[in-house]
Amino acid sequence: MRWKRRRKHGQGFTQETCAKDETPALNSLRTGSTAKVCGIRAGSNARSRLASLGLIPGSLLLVVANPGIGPLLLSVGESRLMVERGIATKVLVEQV
Amino acid sequence: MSNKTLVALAGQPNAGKSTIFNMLTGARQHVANYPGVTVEKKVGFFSHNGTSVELVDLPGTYSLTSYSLEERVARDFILKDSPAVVVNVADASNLKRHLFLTFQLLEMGVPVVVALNMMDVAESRKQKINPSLLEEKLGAPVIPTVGRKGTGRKKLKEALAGEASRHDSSAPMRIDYGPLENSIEELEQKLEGQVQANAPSRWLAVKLLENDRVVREVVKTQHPEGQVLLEQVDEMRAGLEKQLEMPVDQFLEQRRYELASFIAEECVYAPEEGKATLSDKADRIICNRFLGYPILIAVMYLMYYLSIELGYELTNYTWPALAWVREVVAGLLPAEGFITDPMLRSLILWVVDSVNALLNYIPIFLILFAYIAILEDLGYMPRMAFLLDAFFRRYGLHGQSTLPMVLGGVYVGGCAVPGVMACRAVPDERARLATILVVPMMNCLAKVPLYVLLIGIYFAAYKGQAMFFIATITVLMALTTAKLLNLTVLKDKESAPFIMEMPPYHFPTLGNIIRRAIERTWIYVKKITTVVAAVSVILFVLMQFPGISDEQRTDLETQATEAQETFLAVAAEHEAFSELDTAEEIDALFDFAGRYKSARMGVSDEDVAAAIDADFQAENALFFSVIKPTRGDDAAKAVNRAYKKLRRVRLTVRKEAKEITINNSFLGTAGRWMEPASQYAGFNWRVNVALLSALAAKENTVATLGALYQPSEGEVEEGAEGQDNLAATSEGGTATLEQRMAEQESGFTSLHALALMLFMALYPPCMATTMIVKVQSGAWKWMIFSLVYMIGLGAAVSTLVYTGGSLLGFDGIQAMAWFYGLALAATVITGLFKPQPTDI
Repeated sequence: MRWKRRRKHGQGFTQETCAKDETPALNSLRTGSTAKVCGIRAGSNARSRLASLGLIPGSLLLVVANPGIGPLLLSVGESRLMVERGIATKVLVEQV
Repeated sequence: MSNKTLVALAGQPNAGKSTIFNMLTGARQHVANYPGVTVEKKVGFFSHNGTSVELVDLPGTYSLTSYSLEERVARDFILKDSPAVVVNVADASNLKRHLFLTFQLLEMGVPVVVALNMMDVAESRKQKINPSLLEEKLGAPVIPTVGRKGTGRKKLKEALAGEASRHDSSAPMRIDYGPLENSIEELEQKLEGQVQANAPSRWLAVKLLENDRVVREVVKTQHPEGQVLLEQVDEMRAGLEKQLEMPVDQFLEQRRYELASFIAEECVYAPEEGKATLSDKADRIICNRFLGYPILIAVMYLMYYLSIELGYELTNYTWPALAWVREVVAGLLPAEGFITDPMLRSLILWVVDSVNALLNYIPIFLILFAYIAILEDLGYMPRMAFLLDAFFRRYGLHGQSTLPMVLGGVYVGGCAVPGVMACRAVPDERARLATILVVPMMNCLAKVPLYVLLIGIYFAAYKGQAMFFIATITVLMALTTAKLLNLTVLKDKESAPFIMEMPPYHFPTLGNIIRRAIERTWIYVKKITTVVAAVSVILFVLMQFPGISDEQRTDLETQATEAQETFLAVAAEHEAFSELDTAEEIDALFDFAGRYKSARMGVSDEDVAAAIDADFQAENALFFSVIKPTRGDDAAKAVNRAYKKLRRVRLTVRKEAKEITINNSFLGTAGRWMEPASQYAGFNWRVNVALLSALAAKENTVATLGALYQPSEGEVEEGAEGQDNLAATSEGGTATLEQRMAEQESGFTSLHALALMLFMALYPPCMATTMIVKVQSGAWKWMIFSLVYMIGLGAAVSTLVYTGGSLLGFDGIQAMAWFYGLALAATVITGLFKPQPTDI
């Protein structure tokens, strides 16, 4: 069997920098939209937690639910993550 | 290899760690806390080829940083207890992310065996995994497992034994950190041999670059030039940060991730994803902002319905078994006396009754725990947290606080014991403690009889409103209290950002559900019965001693003797009953009648009843004809009438003896002693005694009130023994108690009742809950705090309502409305306070 390589969500690791002006934050994305993380402006505690769940700059994500209040539900790779809104405002994204 | 091998089980949440734990250890496990913290520690045992293994379940963590309590606990265990092997449970279907933790374990230099779990899920997702290639890449054994089905048990045990007995320490897999390698090497050299941390210097070096505060502290205290070294590290980090254009820890994380995805790509073939899975489709409905809440309410309602209502029905079948045990015990004990019973009999029956009252809940708990196990396996719990997090967060609680609150009895009828037990799922220490402290305020099943009693007497015209008031006011007060605790005593506790995984839906397996339901019920039974039995003995002493004074006893004895003589005189008049001529015979007669009554209790089948009659007739025809005279036997009729009269006197005397005993008892004295203060809350000494006795178990309140408000002569009926089924206490029992209370406490108004209900709502948890609070919070100080603050709060609220209400001339219903308004306002205002920013 051949073990193919495939590109999936959350696998682009080239270091990204956000387009300088008016980069939207994760909390502003609507349900169903996909985006790529370009920067995380949170402190090291939250950042380390996000990283251990696969959310680092370069990760691709899909917003499964953004109810407007409360946490967001994201799909990152094989995982579904709940991210508190306060943290989501600190995750900068580029829509793809 | 030593005879006892210590093995730790590590893994990310949702990797199926507990199924692997159960697979390896079976039933041989016990649960405690890690010393000094609120993190649960599960330990199990098994033996493999003659070696006994102690398996310690580490808390589920995504990573091994020092940011969260769980991660520190897991890491400290590995460093300080040096397990021979660490089993790393990883989810095969989500390998890349789970490798993140694997790397960190390998970096710590402990022998690791990877249990590649949930192979079935990976297969169902059409992923193809190559374990041997993974093994080669990681340099550690990889064993495919399916924990839920027990697949891979033997191989995992073999791999464990192999790793544990291996002496050559092969170098662990090394993560190449690229541009950081020079700095790491430099630090390594400076650390080598200088720090006793039971971990490789490389790990320490990497952690220093990560700015890990625990490792910094270790270096500072142990390294001879710690302070200088740390300054160098800071300089180094600043330089690297500039060079990398990002924080060093972020770079380290990215490197690990790159490697994880590289290995995952090599070892896993996964079909193109992007399609929404079935789980995602379900979440669109279940986590929908409109549909989610009705579903949540339905799920909760079903839980109440199944456990409380159906479980209650079931107790009708299990209660006879408990009652039978009591009868058997009673039969073995010395028989009843005429006025007071032998001490041994009263004590043992008292303990049996107290324990029975709690064992009666077993069917309710079995259903409740099974339902929760289903929700957990299904994966509904995190969805519930998702839906309610925004709301609870305002009050310093957590989305995961939902379940404990519901179990405690958000509306009416729960139990604080499983509620507090469920708090361990709350992943944030501050919110977890807040939840533990407010769950006992919920309306547990045992508070309900008192509410029903008081509402029935004093709020008869507003039953529905009053019940709604008491059910919802507790939630308002709990939320406000949680917020206030957060702003004060819990201010410095650690709070974690709410970033959690939402596992896909799973179909629960029946065996698993049943096993867990029984396991948890058993824990409850074991913990509770021992505590309750012990406490009930203490309570017995407090309520029985110093006992009746000689003078009072003589008085009662005179009454009794007079009645006995009258009866004997009647018996002597009739030839057939002349054998009944001593007080001993009378005691025997009452013992006989008592046994007959309990034999006939609940028997409706006529044939069975006739058989019982025949048995008793055969045993003692004379006694039988006294208690059940045959038609036409005038002599027996006359003696029977005399017997009934005597029985009435006996009951009165016994009740009087009981009342005097309580009056004289330590608890009675304490109740009266508290009266000067408690009168401001509207409690007289009788109420005080009832509330004191509720400390052991809340069921006691109504029972004690029942004993205190003695029925007057005439309505005395046997069977008011006080140990009827709970249902009877709340329905049949209280029907007369209601009248008695209303009659005997003419000074008692609806305002008194309101104050009492509010005090009950806030009253300190019963002993069982208190013990669980100790277990879950891991500290005596929190247990004592929870007792003290709740008594204080209860006293303050009931004093406010009673004294304030009296001054303003309110009646109960007016005070109720006012207080509700105040509580609602307090809840809204505290909710407006910005939630404390999480430490980020």
